[in-house]
Amino acid sequence: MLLAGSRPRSAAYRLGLPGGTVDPWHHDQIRSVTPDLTTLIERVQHGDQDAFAEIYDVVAPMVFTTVSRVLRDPAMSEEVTQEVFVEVWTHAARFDPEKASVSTWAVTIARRRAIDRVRKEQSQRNRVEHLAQRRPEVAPLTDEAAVTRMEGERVERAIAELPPDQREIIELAFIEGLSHSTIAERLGLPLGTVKGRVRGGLQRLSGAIGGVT
Amino acid sequence: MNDRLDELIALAALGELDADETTELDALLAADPTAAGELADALDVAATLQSSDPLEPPPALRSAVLASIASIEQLPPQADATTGGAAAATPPPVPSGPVSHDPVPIDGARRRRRVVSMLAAAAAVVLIAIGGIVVATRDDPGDDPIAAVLDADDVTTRTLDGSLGTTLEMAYSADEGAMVVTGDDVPAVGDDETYQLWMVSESGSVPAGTFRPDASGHVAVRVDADPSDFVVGVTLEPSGGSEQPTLPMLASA
Repeated sequence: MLLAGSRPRSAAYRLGLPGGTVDPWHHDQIRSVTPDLTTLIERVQHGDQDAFAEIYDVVAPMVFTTVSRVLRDPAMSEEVTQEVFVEVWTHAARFDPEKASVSTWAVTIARRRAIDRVRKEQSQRNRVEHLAQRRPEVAPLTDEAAVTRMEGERVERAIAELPPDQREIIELAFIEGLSHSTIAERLGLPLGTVKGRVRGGLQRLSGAIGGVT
Repeated sequence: MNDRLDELIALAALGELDADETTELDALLAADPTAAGELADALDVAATLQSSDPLEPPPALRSAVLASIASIEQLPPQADATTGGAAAATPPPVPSGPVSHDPVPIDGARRRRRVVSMLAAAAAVVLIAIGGIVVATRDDPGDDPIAAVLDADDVTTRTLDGSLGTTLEMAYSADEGAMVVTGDDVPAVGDDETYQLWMVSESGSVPAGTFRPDASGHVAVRVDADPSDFVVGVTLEPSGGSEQPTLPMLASA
């Protein structure tokens, strides 16, 4: 798993984002360790703001990174990150630990809200100009930088082993943060082909970048 | 597995399911016991990819987030217990009530700077003070929060006028507990700028959300707030908004 940040963060993140090759959705092994995102979200479901703050500390780098990939604009990324956490707060009671980890849930919300923002705020042309001109201006995490780099390399290696047609689309979708329609337009491919390759790429990656918790 | 399920799982991972597709995916999940695991797996891999090489969010964002949730009511658990993984991935549109909130703006000038926790705490205090004002932007076209205010039986309107170059209409409905500001031919703003709404009284200015015109200059923004005892004004601010208005007020009423 990818590690994000300083101490309480890393342990929780490692455990809070399931996806191991063995029974990835079984959370019992998580419960013995603290801080544990599943326990924290249960407290958040009862309005516990301290628990919410702990979840923020673990998940915020992932959410902010996901949003930044899509939006590229630091100020807008912060706005959307804030929206994501407001949704995590308001929708906490609807979170189902059987369906996803807290981290995956939050990142999924982040992706959706960032894509929505792109659609709402920018014409496609503006977006392309942004892409050409801007990279996120924020610093990479420095805590545990070596571990983070190692995990990043593991993801890179797994992506590199994909068939070229899937690799290109997985990178554009999840590393560059493009919507599937933008990818289709850019590559001159039918939408269905893009969706199919996203699906195929994710399936192929699921063994390779699952676990090591 | 079937092609349609694969397609919907791909869209879920991409964050691009619309409301109909969410419903459709929920139905497929309910019908296929292995599908939920497939979806969960895809979302997990997508999350891992997207959060690799993580960036550090600015410290001030933390206090802004914690301040904004402090005043926001949480939703009850899902009424429909049959909704599955797709609902977990893409929470369905909120039907009604004081629930659709966007955060209070964070301080633009401070945003990129790393600040010590004391400064962050100070920011939190400021934001808590204004925490009751939140902007609603609901994404679901079937649940149009703008129209709900404009079409409300008790709607009242004001025209915001000034140096903006066009006028803005402000509509308020007590039944909806919200105001909507609309306008056409609103001048474009730079990438690092935004318009910001304020509710101004003798005791000061309360930020009431930011907005930008779309490509054709159209604006429609809903704010869950009661402007009855306030002058409503618009300023131009750094992207993300400010805690205090940067004068002049471009339009007000």
